[in-house]
Amino acid sequence: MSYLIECENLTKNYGLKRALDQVSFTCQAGEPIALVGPNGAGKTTLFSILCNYFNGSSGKVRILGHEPGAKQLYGQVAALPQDALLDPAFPLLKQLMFYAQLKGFSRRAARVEALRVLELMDLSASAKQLPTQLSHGMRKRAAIAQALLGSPKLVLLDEPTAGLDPSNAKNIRQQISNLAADTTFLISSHNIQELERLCDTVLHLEQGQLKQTLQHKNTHKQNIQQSFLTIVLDSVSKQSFIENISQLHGVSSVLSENKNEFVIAYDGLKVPDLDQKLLQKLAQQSWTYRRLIKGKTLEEQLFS
Amino acid sequence: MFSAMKIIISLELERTFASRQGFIYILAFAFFWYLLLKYAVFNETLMMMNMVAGADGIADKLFANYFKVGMYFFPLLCLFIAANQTGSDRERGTLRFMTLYCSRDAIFFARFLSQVVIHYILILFSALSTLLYGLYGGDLSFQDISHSLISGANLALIVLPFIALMAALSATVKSPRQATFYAGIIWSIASGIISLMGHYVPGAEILNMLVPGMQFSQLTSLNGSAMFSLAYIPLVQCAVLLLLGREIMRRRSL
Repeated sequence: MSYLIECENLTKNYGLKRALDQVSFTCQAGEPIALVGPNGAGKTTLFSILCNYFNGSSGKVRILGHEPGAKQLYGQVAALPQDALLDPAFPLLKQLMFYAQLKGFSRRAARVEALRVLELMDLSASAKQLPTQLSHGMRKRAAIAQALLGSPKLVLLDEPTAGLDPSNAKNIRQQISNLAADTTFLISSHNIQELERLCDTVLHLEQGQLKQTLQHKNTHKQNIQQSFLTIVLDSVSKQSFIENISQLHGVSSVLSENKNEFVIAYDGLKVPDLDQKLLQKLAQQSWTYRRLIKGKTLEEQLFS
Repeated sequence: MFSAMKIIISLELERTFASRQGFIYILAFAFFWYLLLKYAVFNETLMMMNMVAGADGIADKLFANYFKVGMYFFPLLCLFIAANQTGSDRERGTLRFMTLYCSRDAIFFARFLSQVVIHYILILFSALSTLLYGLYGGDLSFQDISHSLISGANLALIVLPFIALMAALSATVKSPRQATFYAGIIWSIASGIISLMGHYVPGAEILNMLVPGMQFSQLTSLNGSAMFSLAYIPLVQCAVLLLLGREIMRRRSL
């Protein structure tokens, strides 16, 4: 079976420091994949190996069945590398046309394609500007536009929305969602809420090791014995809420680590419709809620 | 690979000949070359002609002088113009974008070939300007064009290992300034050390083969097409340096 990405015991050492330690995972094409972990966890190292910026010290990596850097992957794998800048000597349009031509577009088609991705990133007005004339956020969007040229099968985005204003960050999330049917995105970010919205599979790296792989969205769909609901309320007495909800049939615990946010653990086999019962209870008590999530938030799943 | 190289070469030529910065460099080159041509090539030739009463063959002397000046000028120019083949792009991260679209080999060789084309255009300009200057101010005829072609072709061979050296250094160091600095060291100090070693270690002079420009002293004693007898030296040096540079480029982290 050919995976989109296949890593087997991937290790990378920088001198005595081990940046990646026997990392093994496989990813199928499909929904966006999140790569999370604290600073120094090895996310950028993993990205760099996948992009063939350098080799791992040991282990095996395959993308679409090929080694990173194989000629079969040119044009199939695109990336937003961390801190990489476009050439300051040429305007955006010229550079994007250059990359599109390298991807096999004719000169005329390359111009159309470059204008299309600039439009996607809301940069049409800056097409003739040099990268040095753009703000940090615009430069980042230009680099993302480069990653969207053609129809790559895999796009690796390292911190795509870091440093962007909320409106542009939202636009990038929208574009990722729109393109996810044809392209698989692997996104590294510290913004857990963003990843929660976009991604299905979550790879959690810590100190160079793959701590866990979560099928985030699927866990919400399953009714299993140990099920969870997460609810964020407007304003409520913590004590009163916990007492009331704990009395509902099937609820095993109600925990609150953040203000007005509660995680309810229950037996999903006994009470598959607890979410509806909870909403009825809220109505009875005149409590208003902001958000109800079936399952735990990604943050809870990763760090609790 | 070849179509990617063609696209990269085209962009590099545009960077040099169609950008404002490139235009300034070309103007500076034209001005500097004009001074060299007038004083170091043409006036020097006229002076030599005057010193030898009844001397003929101005074309031989003019192009011999042109070759001697060009033999040092173009490699020196190369240390600056060709110093930034991949270094800045690697430091800036631009190579990270490019390597997703084509191989490192394509980038390395395309950048090298771009520099070869740029230098050849400059050499052609210098040879033609010498010929025109000779036609205008001396007794040259259009038959003397062969002198111009032989000198230009030899200069074209001479610069090859220097461009390859800069390609290899550019793949190694972080900035064009560093590449120029290291090239200066290799060109001057390394050849000095090898000569010194020659005094103590028999046969050490063979190491001179590694230093671009080692054949310069022999070339000055040759004339016309005889100069091509040493063409193998820059060609071999160029091939060795390109293989070395390619290996560095392939192994280097981006």
